[in-house]
Amino acid sequence: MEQKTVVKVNENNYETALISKSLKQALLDLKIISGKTMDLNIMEVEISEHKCAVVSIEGMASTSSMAELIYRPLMEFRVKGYATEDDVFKFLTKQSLLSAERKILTTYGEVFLTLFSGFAVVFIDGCDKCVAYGIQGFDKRSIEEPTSDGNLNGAHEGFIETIRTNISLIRRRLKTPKLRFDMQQIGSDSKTDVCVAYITDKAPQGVIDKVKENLNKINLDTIITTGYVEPFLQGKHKSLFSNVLSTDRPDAFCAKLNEGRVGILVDGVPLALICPSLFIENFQTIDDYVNKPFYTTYIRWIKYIAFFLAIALPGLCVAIATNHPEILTHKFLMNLAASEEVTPYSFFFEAVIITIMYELMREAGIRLPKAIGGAVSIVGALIIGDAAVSSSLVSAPLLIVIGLTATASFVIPNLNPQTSIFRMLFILTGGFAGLFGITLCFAFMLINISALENYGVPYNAPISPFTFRAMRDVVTRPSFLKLGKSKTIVEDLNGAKKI
Amino acid sequence: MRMKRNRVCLKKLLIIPICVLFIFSLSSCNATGKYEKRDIDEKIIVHALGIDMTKEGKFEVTLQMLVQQGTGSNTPIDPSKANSATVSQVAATIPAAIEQCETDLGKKAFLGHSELILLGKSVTDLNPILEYFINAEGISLGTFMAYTDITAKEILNIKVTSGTYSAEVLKEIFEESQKNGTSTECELIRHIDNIENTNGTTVMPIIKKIKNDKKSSNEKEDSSSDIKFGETESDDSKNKSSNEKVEGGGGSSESESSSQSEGGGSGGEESGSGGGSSEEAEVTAFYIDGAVIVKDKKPKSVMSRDEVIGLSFLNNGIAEQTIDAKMGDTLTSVSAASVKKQTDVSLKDGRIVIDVNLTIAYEFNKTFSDKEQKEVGQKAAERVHTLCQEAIDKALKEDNADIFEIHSLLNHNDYTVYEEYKKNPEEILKRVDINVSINPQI
Amino acid sequence: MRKISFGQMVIILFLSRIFYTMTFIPFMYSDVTCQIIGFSICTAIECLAVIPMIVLYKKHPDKNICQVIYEKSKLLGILTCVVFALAAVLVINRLFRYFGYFVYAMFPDFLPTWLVIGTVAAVSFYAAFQGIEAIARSAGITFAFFGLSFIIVILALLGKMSFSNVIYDYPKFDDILHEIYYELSKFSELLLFPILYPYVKEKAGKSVYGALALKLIFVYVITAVCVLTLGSFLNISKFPFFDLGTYAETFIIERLDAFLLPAWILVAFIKTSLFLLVGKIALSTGFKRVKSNVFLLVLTVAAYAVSLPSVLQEKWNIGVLDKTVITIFLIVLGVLLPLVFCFGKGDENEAE
Repeated sequence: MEQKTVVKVNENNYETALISKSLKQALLDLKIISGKTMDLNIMEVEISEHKCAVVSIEGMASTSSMAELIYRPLMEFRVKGYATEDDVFKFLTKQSLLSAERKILTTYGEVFLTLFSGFAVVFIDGCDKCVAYGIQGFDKRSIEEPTSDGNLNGAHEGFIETIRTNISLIRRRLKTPKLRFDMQQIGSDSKTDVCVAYITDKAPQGVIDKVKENLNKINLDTIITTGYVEPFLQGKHKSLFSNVLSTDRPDAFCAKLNEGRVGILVDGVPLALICPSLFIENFQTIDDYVNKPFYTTYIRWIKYIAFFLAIALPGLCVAIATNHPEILTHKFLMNLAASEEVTPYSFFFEAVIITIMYELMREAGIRLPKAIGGAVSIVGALIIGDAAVSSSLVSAPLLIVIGLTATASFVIPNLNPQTSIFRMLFILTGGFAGLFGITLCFAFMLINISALENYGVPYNAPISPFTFRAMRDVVTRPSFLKLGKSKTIVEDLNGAKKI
Repeated sequence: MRMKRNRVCLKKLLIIPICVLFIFSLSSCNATGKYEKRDIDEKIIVHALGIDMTKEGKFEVTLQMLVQQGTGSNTPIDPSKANSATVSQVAATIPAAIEQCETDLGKKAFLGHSELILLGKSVTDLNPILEYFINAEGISLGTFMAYTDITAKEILNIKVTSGTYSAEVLKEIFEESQKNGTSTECELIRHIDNIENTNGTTVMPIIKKIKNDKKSSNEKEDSSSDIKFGETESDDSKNKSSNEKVEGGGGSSESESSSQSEGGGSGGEESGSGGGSSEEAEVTAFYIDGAVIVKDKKPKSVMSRDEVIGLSFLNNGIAEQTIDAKMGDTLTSVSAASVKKQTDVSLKDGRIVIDVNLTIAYEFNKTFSDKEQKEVGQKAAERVHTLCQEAIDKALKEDNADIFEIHSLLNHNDYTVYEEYKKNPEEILKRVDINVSINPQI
Repeated sequence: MRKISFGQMVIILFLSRIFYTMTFIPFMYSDVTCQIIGFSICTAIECLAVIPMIVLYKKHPDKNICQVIYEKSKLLGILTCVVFALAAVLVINRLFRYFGYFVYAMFPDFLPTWLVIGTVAAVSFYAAFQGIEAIARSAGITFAFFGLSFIIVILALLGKMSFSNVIYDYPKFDDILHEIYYELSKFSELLLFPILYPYVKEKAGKSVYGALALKLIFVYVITAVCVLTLGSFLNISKFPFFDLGTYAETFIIERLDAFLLPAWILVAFIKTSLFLLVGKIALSTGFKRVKSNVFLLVLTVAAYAVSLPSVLQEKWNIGVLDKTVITIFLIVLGVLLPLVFCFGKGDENEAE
């Protein structure tokens, strides 16, 4: 007779280990696996005189919900005579509605996953299954205004850290059964909930499958932010630009799903990812679809100009002042020359210094606590700005240029990392090689963007490859009367491939 | 796997020295020699160039440049003061003279913003000048080129208080004069184009200064065309300039180096506007008076102001022109609002006849009755006819110069004659008759 | 395989040719009248010369000419591939010399010419490395930028154009013939099309005619503007199109010549990357075992190395190479070879 080798359950082999029938053993196993962690709450109860235990994690399950929804009904359950484990199990699984979410668990891996997700798990003596009830009660942030993408006329709700709340925000806006959410856990240690959202008849199946495949390839231990997930979604091409858009607005997210994109939500992060995304979408906000088309068109072009200014203005100024002063008008050139006369450094060097100072102040402004954040603006404006010009360390035209550049870069926050890098590159190439250097740097940037393609969609579509119909929403903002008649989804763009 | 890792490491190792090499070569190019990058304040921003010839046949080049008179970093340019200065040098060639100026000031000359090239009356041969400017780095094709009846140096030394520098004022005067016909087109490219097409003929306006005597009454110089070309500036020249050096650049030169002459005055074509007298103040304004006919790239004769207006009518260069019409004892002015030209070229009895019909739309400055309007219009037309005829008599009959775009008319209308013209322009021009008819429109 | 659209192909072919017009023949042999007549006649000849290529495309829409020949005869195929690569290097060499001359003449104190063409080569290498799609998309944006700067220059010059500036001469037959011959040497689309047509999604044959038509319009307009504005200055100008920019002014930008410079650089970079790509595709067809990017690196270094001596010695125009040798390559590779191999059975998936 073969002897069964009993393998003791521990934190390394618990994931697939089956739950012990003996309640005592099961509870002991739980303690061993969790290392007797102080937040593991075990409440041993008798349900109709049958031994059971309710296990939860402190702070994860709501104690009031537990009392109302779990304990009270369990205490009130009675059968004639002595209740068996089957009676109790039947009651828990079929004859009661103790919470909206109920799962039957068979392994310790599932038990811990649900416990750490805020479930309460009921163990039954003599039963090798247990029942988990979703009574999450952990503290979470309330829905607030989105911080990174402000607007005037749209909704003021933003995503929060809890994935299920985020899902509900999306579901409320798209009341269609075609909206699907596929949840999976990623991260060998963190087991972070990552949800793939899409609308079935709009998102190409190839893209959905590819996204899921890419998510499955993630071999990290922990997933803390969307930044851990993004590189896996972006594909092999190394680009300074990202073709995965992130947003903290549920309305923007829904709009993108409606265009045939696939969205990814990560638990613990108040941001959602959208792919594939296009370069031009960095310039579109939800306010664009609230205001009148003529105004939106005007603002769109302001944004395009802002992007150009943010990236190229300092570099162009340096290039022109140093190598091509014939481009400037007479008065401008004279003022510039006169301003530069008194400064100790070259225009190029001043531009580099001021740009670095601006980046320092910007970074400090983000990191500083709000209480003393105002000090940054005082330091920046008064001390550096005014004093630098008065003491002739820096010329006034350059300060205006940098100020304008800084303001312009705030208009498109999504592209801030790229504009910072390219701004500095343009300044360096402009100083060394004038317009020639800037053009080559621009050519490099152009190729970098043009080569970017993910999920079959070129990143700089619909500009190149040109799609006339989609360009309507680039050059202008067509009215909804026109948009309603003919929609352009991502698959329809020129250059998009079916995958 | 290991080989792949080695290859990747090698690739990364190679990239670093390549980048370092590239940056090094770029920086070293920027730092030294011919490719050294100069900031904008390390360049001489030249507003205008003046060229005179010395007795020895050398070139005296005067550069009018920016020198700000600001009071601090907040107001680098003080518009109440003249923000310019000049530097002059003499050398055998123009590039050599400019190089000496650069050496004097320790900066490189930037000609990309020069708006005016002024030729002094001592300049008798345009060949070397045009050769230089065609190939000069950075010179704009739209730079104005004109003559002056004195030395270019004197004109450029004049300080003006309206506008920031005298070249700016001069440019505005030229632009305005071109609109009302008192000056011909004087952009560099047009001169080159004319010279190429006509074997060396073009017309250059003459800029003069209004002298102010000590009683502060403004008087123009006698505007008769008695400029003697080839005259060089003598030692006891009329305009004395102070010997104040502009910049700290040292170096002696064959003639005086830079000087800022005291003076003042702003542009105004005919009326001497602006004051600004100073210790030696003689000049209060510039004005355009006539033009030089250049033939075979040498100045030949001078056209009067009226003749230039006639030329402008014929060449269709006028936007607005006030024409005086004598009605009995009174002089009335009418404005030519628009001029339309129709030209016909024909051969008659071996003569090339060019019929020019000008339809001029008049605007009246006073209220006239219909009959008076017609009369005034007729008188004005007669006046225009007289002006045109004077221009034709002067340029064609007297000097045999093709300044009426005859080459273009022949090329477009009769190529055979044009071919003859190319071989022997003098002969063809002698056979040309220009008949002008004016059609006034009220 | 099908990666670029009809419009992108037209733009690629057009930009490849317009580079020479932007330089507007740095080495003027005859006057404008002869040039424009020669250009027009040459365009008509080009329309006929591309017919064998188009027939070849219709027979073998998924294979470039090197692949077609390689399948018929391995040795001949390899030889064709090598010759294509050599031709690409020669075209790039000419481009580097012309571009180097431009920088040398117009911006002499800017950067050393060897460094200028070196950086263009490096960026073009990166572009060719990314593939035909990246180049095609960049070409679209370059075309838009080129068109915009072109329109701005023309608008700025509207007031300065005059019909009286037009002086034409009766053309001489010899000069016209010379111009036809010189113009033909610039028709490097004959090298591009046979290699790149498998990448075009649709109407590849028509794309050549589209490019020729676009080229015709642009060259006529540029010539007309140059003549109307510059007049006889055209005869002594080194870079007439660039001089238009020098003469044009607006109230924001004083001169537009430095504004045209980026357009020019972008066009040069697109053309260089295209020919590097063509050489790479040709060589990788013939030598399948070697990684294609190795060929790319070799071609870039070779093109730069070949151009370096002439650039350093300031020999900008090598008449024999630019006119005779390249023309022979173009006719052999772009006309004769397709003519020979366009007969016979086509592939199953023949283009319509």
